[in-house]
Amino acid sequence: MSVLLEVNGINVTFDGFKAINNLSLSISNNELRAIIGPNGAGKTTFMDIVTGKTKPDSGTILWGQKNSSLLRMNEAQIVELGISRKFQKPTLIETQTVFENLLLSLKKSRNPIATLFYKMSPDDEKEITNIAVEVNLIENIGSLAGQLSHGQKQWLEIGMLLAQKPNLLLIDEPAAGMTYPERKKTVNLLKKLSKNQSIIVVEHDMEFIKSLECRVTVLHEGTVIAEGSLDYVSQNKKVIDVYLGR
Amino acid sequence: MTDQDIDTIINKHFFYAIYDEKSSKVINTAKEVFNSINYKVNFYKYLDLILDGLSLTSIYFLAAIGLAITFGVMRVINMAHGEFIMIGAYTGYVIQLFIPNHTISLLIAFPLAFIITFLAGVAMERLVIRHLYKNPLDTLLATFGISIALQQIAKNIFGTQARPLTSPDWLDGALVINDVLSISLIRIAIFVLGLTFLILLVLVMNKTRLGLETKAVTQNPMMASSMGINPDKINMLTFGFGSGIAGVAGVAIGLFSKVTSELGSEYIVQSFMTVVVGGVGNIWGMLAGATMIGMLQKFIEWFNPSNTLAAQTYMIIFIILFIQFRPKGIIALKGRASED
Amino acid sequence: MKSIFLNYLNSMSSFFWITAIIMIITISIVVFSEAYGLNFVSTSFVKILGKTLCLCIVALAMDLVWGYCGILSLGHFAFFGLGGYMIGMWLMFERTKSIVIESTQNNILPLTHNEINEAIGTQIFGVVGGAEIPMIWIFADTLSIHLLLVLFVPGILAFIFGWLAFRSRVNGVYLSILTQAMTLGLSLYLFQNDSGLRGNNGLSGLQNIPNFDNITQAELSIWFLIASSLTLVVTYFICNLVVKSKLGNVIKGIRDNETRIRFLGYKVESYKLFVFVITAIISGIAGALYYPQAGIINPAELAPIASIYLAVWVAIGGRGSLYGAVIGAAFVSLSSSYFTGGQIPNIDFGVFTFKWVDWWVVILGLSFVITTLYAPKGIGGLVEIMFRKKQL
Repeated sequence: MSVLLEVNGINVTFDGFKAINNLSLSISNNELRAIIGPNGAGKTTFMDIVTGKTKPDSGTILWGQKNSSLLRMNEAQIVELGISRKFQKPTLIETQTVFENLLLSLKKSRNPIATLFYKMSPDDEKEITNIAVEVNLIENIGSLAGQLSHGQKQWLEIGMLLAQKPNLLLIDEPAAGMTYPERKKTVNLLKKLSKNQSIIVVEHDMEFIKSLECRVTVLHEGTVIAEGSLDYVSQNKKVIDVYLGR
Repeated sequence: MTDQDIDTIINKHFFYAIYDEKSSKVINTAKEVFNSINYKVNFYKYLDLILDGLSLTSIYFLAAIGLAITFGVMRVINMAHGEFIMIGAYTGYVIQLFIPNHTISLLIAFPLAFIITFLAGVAMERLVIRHLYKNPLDTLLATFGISIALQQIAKNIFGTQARPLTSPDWLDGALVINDVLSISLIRIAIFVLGLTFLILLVLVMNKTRLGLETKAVTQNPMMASSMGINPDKINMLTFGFGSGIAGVAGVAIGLFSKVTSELGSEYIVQSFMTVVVGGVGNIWGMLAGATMIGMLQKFIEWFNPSNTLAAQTYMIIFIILFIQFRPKGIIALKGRASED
Repeated sequence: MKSIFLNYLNSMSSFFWITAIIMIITISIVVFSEAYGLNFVSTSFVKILGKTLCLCIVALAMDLVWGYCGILSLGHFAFFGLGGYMIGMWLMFERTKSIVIESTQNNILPLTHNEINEAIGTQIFGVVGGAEIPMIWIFADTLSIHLLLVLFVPGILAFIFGWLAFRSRVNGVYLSILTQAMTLGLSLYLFQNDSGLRGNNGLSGLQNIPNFDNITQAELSIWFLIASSLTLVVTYFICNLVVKSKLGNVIKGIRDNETRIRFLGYKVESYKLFVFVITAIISGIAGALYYPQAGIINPAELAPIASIYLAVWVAIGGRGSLYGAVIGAAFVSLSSSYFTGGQIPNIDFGVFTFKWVDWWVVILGLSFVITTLYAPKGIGGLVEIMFRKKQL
């Protein structure tokens, strides 16, 4: 199992507050990983750093076989490498349709001239339709994204990630606002997807994490305090103290 | 020989007068004295320049402080801010129509201008700005509509001629330190006024409950409201306060600038730039911004004294470049809460 | 799928409507004109219409950069003015040259190249106390170069400014203020007498087209009207193609959720720069058509307030819809000319006479506030509501 993403000794301080403290973890190819931890543990900040939104004060982030450093790249370059992100708050283009959102996400040239002269091919249309089916949005494909329910918005965002054909998906709280059946569907989707790409899921819902049946990393105050199966970390004393409770 | 011929011959010859000083000591001393005079003159010239710069700084500070308050607290850009300055100046003029004594009229004008523009600001906040909080760009435009309307109304009432706003006699003239260095008393007064406001503001922000609540609302409105602070009330009061200060600044500015309906537009872009350069949400940042812009403009003018327009152009280019390196201003709020 | 196709149809229909209206207006004016028709309408009226069409073009540009991309540029009129200055330089130079040559026709010796230039220099720059022709006029005798400058000068200024601004991720109101600063800086620079562009005298006599001395103003005004109409139609067509393309989706996405577009891998700065520069060039072209019809250009035209009026037109007409921008520009600028032109009678209230000239700006300002508060989609939005009702 080769390493896809290697994060080593990352430190981030915001105005005197140490948000990330000597954080190290690594993700392998086609791995599904859950990151849990109390509020303020640094989970979202971690994602900000990997995707280039925030620059760390020190540490390294290496990617892929060539061990490229992500630190010098901007957000768009990191996306082009194959890292896609779903945000905590549904981040879509609400004024455009599901179809258009997916169209924008397709893995095509991101160059302005190319987008100006882009003509939709039947293959592209098919791909979009397939993704819409995959994320259960085929019936709403012509609706404006803003009109979808919260859970549907989450799915659309996941669909948009899929369209980018990434190697690593960063998914921030996918279960929030979903109904129980929607959650089940999401778990199945994530499990299925992790066969072909790596996925990092940040979540609070323990049931959800349990059904993912994957390796879990626990963060607290910006650093990793435990890592292993959910059973293993739930028995870790420190994890119980700071997060899970007795 | 005729007189003419004599004159011609004399003019053809050059006469030299040489003062041939034998003692090198005298020469050296003369050189030293000359140099030290030069040095002194230059020193005072620089001092004069710095004082001019400080004076401009205090003007920009006064004009912009109200804007910094409204922008800092509510992220509202009030394009009509310049017109509040104008209203203040015209208030001064009107008072002086009724009260000929220049000192008393000003003593009344300052607080009255504050009250009038305070109320105008509150009215504007309640009627217009309150509905547009989600949309800072729309607020900018809506306040612009108010700005052009106010300018035109002022033109209709007061005409296009500049109106006089006269300072009292005891402020006439200047403090002359020596031949090179002098500063007009009015500019000293403005500086003192600016300083007073700075101290007042720092005290209010740091020592009063109102200041604390305002800072809370600036940094995290939702948190503040869940702690019982009424953001609506704070917004209203803050906007009113910022506008009130603009009115007071208007009286001061009207004393040395021409009071016309366009007074506001002369200061609005500069005021914005002061706020942008200084960074939002911080009085000291604003002060730093005003100082930088004021001093820089004076220095540029000094290099090119015949051309104040060019100075302003270079100022603007400088500011545009400055923002490249410090997009959030000299002193900026950091952290996620201030992301907008 | 259906909605996309319907959108496309709808959009093309707006293009057809606008083109049809413009053609009808243009043709009727030609028919009624002094030069080619029944002499019902005066030449000055033709010029007002022609100028209004140019304002519609720059409003389209503003709508593209603001209504569609979300960049509230309050300096785009600077590009309009620069286009005017570029063409004005050639117009003024060539005309002065032909006047100089004509007036010295009967000289015993024909003037040398240097003497001609000296005479032109004195004629043009005497008013600011100079006599030498400044460096920037070096190509002023070549039309083709100045036509290119109409495109390049606004384009390059937009590129430099945009690159600096977008690269440092300056956004929202900060950016708008900086664009105001840019146009203020430019206009202040032009006000100087040694700017090489005659300071606050500006460039004049632009309505006289060199080598076309025997064409009357009446005829010229019609030619410019037709040219402006054609340019507006072509610009509209191009803008329509852009907004309906995937590029249009991207820039609308930048307006509505820049983060998402960035995290889909699009270099947001490149797109913003692209739109900013293209719209600057369009504005320059519009300016180059406008100022020969106006006859004169001076630095006051580039004052910060001009760019704000541009935003007023687009806001009232409807940002985010192309025909809205055209309607807004036409409606507001024509109303402004009408109400402040002095033809409409004042309303007498006895103690107080309501003069339109005095109160028009107040009405405009207040309408702007009301539009922003209650009708953010402007006139275009109202049209859309009407259309939607029809479709139901």
